[in-house]
Amino acid sequence: MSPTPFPDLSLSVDGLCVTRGTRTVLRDLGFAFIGGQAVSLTGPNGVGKSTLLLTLAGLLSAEDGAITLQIGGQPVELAEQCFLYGHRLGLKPLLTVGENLQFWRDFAGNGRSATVEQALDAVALTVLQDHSASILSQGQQKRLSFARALVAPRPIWLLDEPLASLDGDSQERITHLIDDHRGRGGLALVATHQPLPLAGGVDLILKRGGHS
Amino acid sequence: MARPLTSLIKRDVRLAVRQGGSVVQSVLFFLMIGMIVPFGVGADADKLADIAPGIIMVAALLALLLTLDRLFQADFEDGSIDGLITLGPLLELTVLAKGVAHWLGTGLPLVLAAPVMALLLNLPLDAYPVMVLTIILATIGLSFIGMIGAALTVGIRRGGLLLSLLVIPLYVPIIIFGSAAIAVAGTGSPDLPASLGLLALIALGSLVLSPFAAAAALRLNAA
Amino acid sequence: MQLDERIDRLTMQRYANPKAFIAIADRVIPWLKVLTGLAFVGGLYLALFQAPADYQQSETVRIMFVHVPTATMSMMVFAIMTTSSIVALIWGHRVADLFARASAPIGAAFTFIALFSGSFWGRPMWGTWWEWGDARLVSELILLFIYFGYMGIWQTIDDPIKAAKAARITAIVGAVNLPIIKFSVDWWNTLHQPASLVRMDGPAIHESLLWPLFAMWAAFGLFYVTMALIGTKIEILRFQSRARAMRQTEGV
Repeated sequence: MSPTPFPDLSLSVDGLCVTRGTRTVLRDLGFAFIGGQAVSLTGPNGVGKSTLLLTLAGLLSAEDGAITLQIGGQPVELAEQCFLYGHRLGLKPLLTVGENLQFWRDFAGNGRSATVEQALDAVALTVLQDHSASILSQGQQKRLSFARALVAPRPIWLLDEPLASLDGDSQERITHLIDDHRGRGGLALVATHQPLPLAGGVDLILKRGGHS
Repeated sequence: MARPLTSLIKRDVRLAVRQGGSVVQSVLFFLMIGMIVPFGVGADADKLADIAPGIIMVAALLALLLTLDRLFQADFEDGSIDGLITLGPLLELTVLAKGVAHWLGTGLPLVLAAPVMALLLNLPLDAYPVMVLTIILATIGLSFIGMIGAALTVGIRRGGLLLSLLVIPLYVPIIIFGSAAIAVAGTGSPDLPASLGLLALIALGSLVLSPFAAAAALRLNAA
Repeated sequence: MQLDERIDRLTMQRYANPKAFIAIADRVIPWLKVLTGLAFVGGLYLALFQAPADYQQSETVRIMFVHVPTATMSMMVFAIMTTSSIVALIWGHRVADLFARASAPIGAAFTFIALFSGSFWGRPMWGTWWEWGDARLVSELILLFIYFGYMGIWQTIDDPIKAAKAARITAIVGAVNLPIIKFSVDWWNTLHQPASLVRMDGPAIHESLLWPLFAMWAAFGLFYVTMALIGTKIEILRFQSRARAMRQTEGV
């Protein structure tokens, strides 16, 4: 995996308001993070964790508020710098495990991309490389989906409950990858019910309206 | 820059080939229309030859229309669309690539099946070359215009019906110019270059403009 | 409280101030209703009693006073719908979306009346109830389906905000294609029909027919404006009441 660190990164959000349908989910939300941080995004169900991640990724548009991303001192378009991981995994059952990753590598990879073999090794799926993705268990599919982050590297990881439904070993592995990522200067926002077992993690707790 | 797009086309074509069944089914559907029409209008060879251009065009339209609601549906269902939008190049280009892949998986098989259809309907032999060219241009237009409807109705239950309603009025010019071209093929009529030219214009126009509308529709349906 | 007000104001701005719209509409609609009624009375009087019967087509030419205005209005309403959609697309004004939504059924009704009256008008000439050789009438038929498609989008998509955005695209795509469709239908007709085809509105419209025609045009036009304003107001109220209901479910 490429050891080159991500350049200086700072993400700030101010006065963010996002509505879904006619419901205002996020009101006047503000925060600021820098590269090298792993943020645990917690809060009760329906408070807007997924909504926040989707908005940062550019899939939802905000009614109001400013989102600024600076990399190396230059303002940069946020959506292009995000890797989004969520409930829907983005895998094709008709392709093999390796082919799935190879596609994402070809489609969205860049100079920092790990090879398919390296990525599979990091999530311990090497043995299944030539197997059809349709026979994977839920946990294995989640790991494969997560491996996309390695072949399509982006400075900001937006992860929606990456540890749910995983066994202890896999949880450790994923946590380790997140740690690696922030070690390289990347930023990770992780929506989670259980706080991340990471030293020096930051918390962002969403309550209905505003944050804490 | 081309690598992301070609990888997407390759993936989609590979999926279509592995799916196998649906490509074959849509070709069979196309041919079955050719089979059933004579039962409706009689076996008179001359009469069939007369209506052959129109039937071929309409059959191609229907066969392609039936495949449209799957164009974006699969990517939405498994969540690939999120990655296609956020991780990929400009969405308009991604959508263009999806359209090309769709044509390769659906339009191209119809082009190959068209001579068989023409045989069933007794189309004069010297009209075949023009017919093949016409089907190529027409299916390109059908794929790309249809893509807009597919993007607008993705995720709607029974969306196929609304899709057809939206898209069939837009298909009228393709049917008109396509059938005209096939009908006057081999007669040296000046209508031939005119209709082929207009058909080509529509194909080109839809190739260039549809991605904008389809991308806009995908963005609003994405989350 | 302050925060809630701010949110409300924000969403209101996106509506291009529906309160103002409703206020204006409320003042204007009663007058429009009166004007529309007068225009119809005047127009129908002129059409039925003042305009001379055509020696060729006799009394049936009077159908023209319904057919021609509704045919033109059917196109104009679509143009207005499209403009509204473009405005909504660029500035995000929800009122523009809702105005387009309210206009569609009216335009569709005009199209249907145009088809219906066109069929009646043409029958003595054609001998049939429908004539594919009349390019304008055929285009009207296609237009009717385009209207249905647009209304179908609003109808079928559950989320009203998504529906609005999808509707904008649908209207614009339809508008771009409409000239192409009309051209192709015209072209198609010259292929299949002999050149000498009796045009429905005759070689020239006699002077004495112009006044009733204008009066009926004005009548249908005013009818559209009145109904569109009423319809938009209803849509705004419906939208707001749904938003209010949804806000009440928060925090439960």
